[in-house]
Amino acid sequence: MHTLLIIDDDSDYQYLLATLLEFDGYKIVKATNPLEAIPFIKKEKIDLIIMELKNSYLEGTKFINWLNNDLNIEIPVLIITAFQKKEAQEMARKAKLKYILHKPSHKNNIINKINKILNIQ
Amino acid sequence: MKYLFLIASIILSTVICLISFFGGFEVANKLLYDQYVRSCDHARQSPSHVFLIEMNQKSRFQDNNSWHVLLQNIQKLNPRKIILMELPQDSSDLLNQLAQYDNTVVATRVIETKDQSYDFSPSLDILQKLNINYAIKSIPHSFHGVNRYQTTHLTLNGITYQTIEYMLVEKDNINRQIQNDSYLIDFRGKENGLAKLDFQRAVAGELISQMITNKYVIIGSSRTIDKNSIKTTITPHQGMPESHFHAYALETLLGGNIITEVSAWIELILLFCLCLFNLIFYQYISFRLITWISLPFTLFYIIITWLLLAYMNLWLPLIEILAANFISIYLVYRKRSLQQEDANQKLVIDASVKLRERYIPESFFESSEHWSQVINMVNQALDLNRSIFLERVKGDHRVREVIALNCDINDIDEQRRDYERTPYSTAISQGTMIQLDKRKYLTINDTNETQYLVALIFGGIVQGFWAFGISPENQEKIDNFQEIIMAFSGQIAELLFRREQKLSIKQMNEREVYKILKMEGAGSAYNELNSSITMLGRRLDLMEHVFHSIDMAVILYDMFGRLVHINQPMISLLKQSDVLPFEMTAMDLCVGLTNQPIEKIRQLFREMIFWQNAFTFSISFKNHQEKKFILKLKPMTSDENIQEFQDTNQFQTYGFILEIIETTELGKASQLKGDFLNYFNFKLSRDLQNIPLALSVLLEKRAKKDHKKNAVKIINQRLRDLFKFINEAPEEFGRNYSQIYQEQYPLMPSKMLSQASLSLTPLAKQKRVTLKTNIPELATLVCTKPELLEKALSIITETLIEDAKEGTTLMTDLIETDEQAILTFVNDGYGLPNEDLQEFIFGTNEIQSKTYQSLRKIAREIKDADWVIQARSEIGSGMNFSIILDTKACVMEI
Repeated sequence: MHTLLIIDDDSDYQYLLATLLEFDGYKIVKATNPLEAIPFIKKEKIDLIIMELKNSYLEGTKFINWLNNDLNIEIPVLIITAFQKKEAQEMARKAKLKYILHKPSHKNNIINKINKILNIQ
Repeated sequence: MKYLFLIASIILSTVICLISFFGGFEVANKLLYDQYVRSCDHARQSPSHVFLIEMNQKSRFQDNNSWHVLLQNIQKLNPRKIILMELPQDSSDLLNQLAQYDNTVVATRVIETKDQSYDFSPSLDILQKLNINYAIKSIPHSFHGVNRYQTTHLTLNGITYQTIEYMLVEKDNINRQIQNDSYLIDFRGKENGLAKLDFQRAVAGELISQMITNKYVIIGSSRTIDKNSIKTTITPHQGMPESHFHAYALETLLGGNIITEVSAWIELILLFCLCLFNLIFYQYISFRLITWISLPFTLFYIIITWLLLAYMNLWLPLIEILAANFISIYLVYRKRSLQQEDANQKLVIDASVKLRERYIPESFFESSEHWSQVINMVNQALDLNRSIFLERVKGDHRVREVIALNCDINDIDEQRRDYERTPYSTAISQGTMIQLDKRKYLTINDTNETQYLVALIFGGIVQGFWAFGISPENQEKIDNFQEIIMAFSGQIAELLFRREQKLSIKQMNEREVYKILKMEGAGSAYNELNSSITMLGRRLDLMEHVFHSIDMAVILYDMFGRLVHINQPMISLLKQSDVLPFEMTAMDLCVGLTNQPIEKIRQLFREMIFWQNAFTFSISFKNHQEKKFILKLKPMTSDENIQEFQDTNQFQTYGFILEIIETTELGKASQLKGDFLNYFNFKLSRDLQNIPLALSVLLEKRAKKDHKKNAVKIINQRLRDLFKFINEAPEEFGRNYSQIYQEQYPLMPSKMLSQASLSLTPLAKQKRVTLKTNIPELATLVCTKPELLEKALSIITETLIEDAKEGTTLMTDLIETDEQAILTFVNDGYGLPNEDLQEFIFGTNEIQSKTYQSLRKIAREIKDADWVIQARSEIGSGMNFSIILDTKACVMEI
């Protein structure tokens, strides 16, 4: 079973996405901002981080850079963001984030993307 | 007056006639007459009726034989008459001979005897006895030494005698109309003298029939230089022999050449017509032409008078005519001058009134409501509970209340109003505002207030007092309260002092005696004009000042593209960019600023001139890259009021206005709107994301009842949020520049921080301080006043740069928590004791430093806006500031 970490300060979104992913057999860990997510990352084996670019305390891109460079933790990241496509893609490109979806996205798109990232048929 | 010109004509002509009648013009007229007669020499060459045989002194002593021979010689040639003006020394034989001839006449001289009686030489008795024809020869009294007239009759001892000339024509039945028994002798054309022959030659038989036949032969003396010499029109200096005079007179009568003078009535009618003509005619002639037209008319009168004299034997009173002519012209001129002066005066006064009413508000120095102006000034700047102003009673040590704000004028408990006593004397001696004991001054009311009294002193003179009450809260809001109050009181006192001075000068100037001393007794128009010009000058100065003071850079070109006016901001802006407007035409400048092809600009100019189109370009200056500008080129189109002053009104356009407007601030507002639009998209996308996910949960077979219930709840909640958001968003989009900038608006503090850092980079470079920012690119919006935030960030950053040590870094961070955006500013500087910094920023004591005054002010505004500002300092370490903004307070909260 894959463990997914959802970082987003929208609690409704967290709940709905987590519920749907749990139906598909994923284990979900939730955090409202990057600072809150750090203990989970350190404690558990996280297979995929699903996060918004914009977060309290720390921007998504800065958080990922910090993980990669300071903690040497390489976890695939799926950005699902409400920011404009062009702006978000530019930021993701700078932070070398390969996977990005734009809100609003359908459940199937999200799950297909997760499966693709985790190589699940 | 309706028939003013008619009445004026009557009066003028009558007055001139009266003067003429009483001889007022006589001398000048006669002198002119003499000149005219002398100038008629060539015009009059009539045949002579009189021949003169002149005898000299020697001839008088010739023997009677010579006389007999002469008479015989003459008689042989059939003269009409022989008139003997002189007789030989011994004339008895001659008289006997004369008795034989019917056609001889002896002229007798009138001799005044000692007994006031008259005698004749030769004696009338002898002449009568010998039956010799005789007549009286008379020389009338001269007028100013000149004999121009001869009389027809002479009355002596009650007996009237015909004078010799008149008697001769009467006897020959030649009828001549002569008025008043005298007539003007015709000297015209006789400058070369009369037809004459010397006595000796006549005796010697040199007479021929052309000289004598049918003529009046006068034998007379040629003596002139004696007491009997007569000065006449043609001999004004050397005199004329008596015989010549009689010969001219006789010739005048015989030739019918009596010069007629117009009668007084005709003269009156003539002058009246002339005056009437002039008064009517010259009314329609412009001022400039009056002189030029009057000259030929005057010349005409001079010539016509000459022609009438030369050819019609009529003498017009030329001096009277010229006098009437000039006086009537002068009257017209004067009347029109007065009318023009009146019109000018009216114009000037109207212009003054219009200027006063339209442009210049009543001056503080002239207004009787000056205290209202003072209290308005105070009220618009200070939030006082109540104010009462008291003025000094002239010549007394008392004061009286004059005006009150937010209270009654009688709300003063203190009854003495004596400024030599306390509290007034205390306020004067302390030279500052003094706090008053409520029980002793303003009446107590329910309001919580502190009362103060300030003496209004200027130049050491007490002008009045200002008592006021202010609530402690309001007082706290006013920085440097005491300083501001004293500045106000100083200004008010000076205004009152200057007003008093001006009024004194005005009153003095208005005194009639003073006006007379200044020779301005009747100078109201001049004063009005002066006042109007002064007002206009003030107005122009003001307009020019306004023109230079407006932030917008403006150049005014005429339609030929020449620079007419340029304001100071434009000069500065162009100078900074090395553009020389004074050496460029409008088109050159437009090409230079817009970087557009000259052909395009030329086409736009064509459209602007002929179709009055305006154009706008976005431009930039190399030295102001951070700023945004637009260039607006618009035509000045004809306006009826302006057109009449324009020479070039053939086109509807008479110039161009070129404006350069800085749109940086508008750009900021636009950027704020852009940020908000991005956020709008973000919020919409984010909220919408929950709806398909919730629907998926609802459609999911594995979902439990609770999942579905929560999903429905989330859908409802999100829809409600979205509706609210969508309803409120247009209001935010619809705000204009000033609303956005001065009121609450959702904005990204991160961008404001970046801008503040950018604008202070030059100062930081100067102080060798590095500005470093740690700002998230995707910051949350906060609802706040952009202007306030911008000012706060700028002041704090500037304070920290000023305090920073050289070569250090000023660090600025923005951290967002769930509900707050925290801005922190930290420098490595010299710092100051923390308690001092706290006092400077949050305290109430007076501070001198402008920097800390600004900080205290902005800190107060930040508190009023419900933000949090914190500051800390340590000597040797520097300072740090934090501003905490509430992100949840924004209606657009995420």
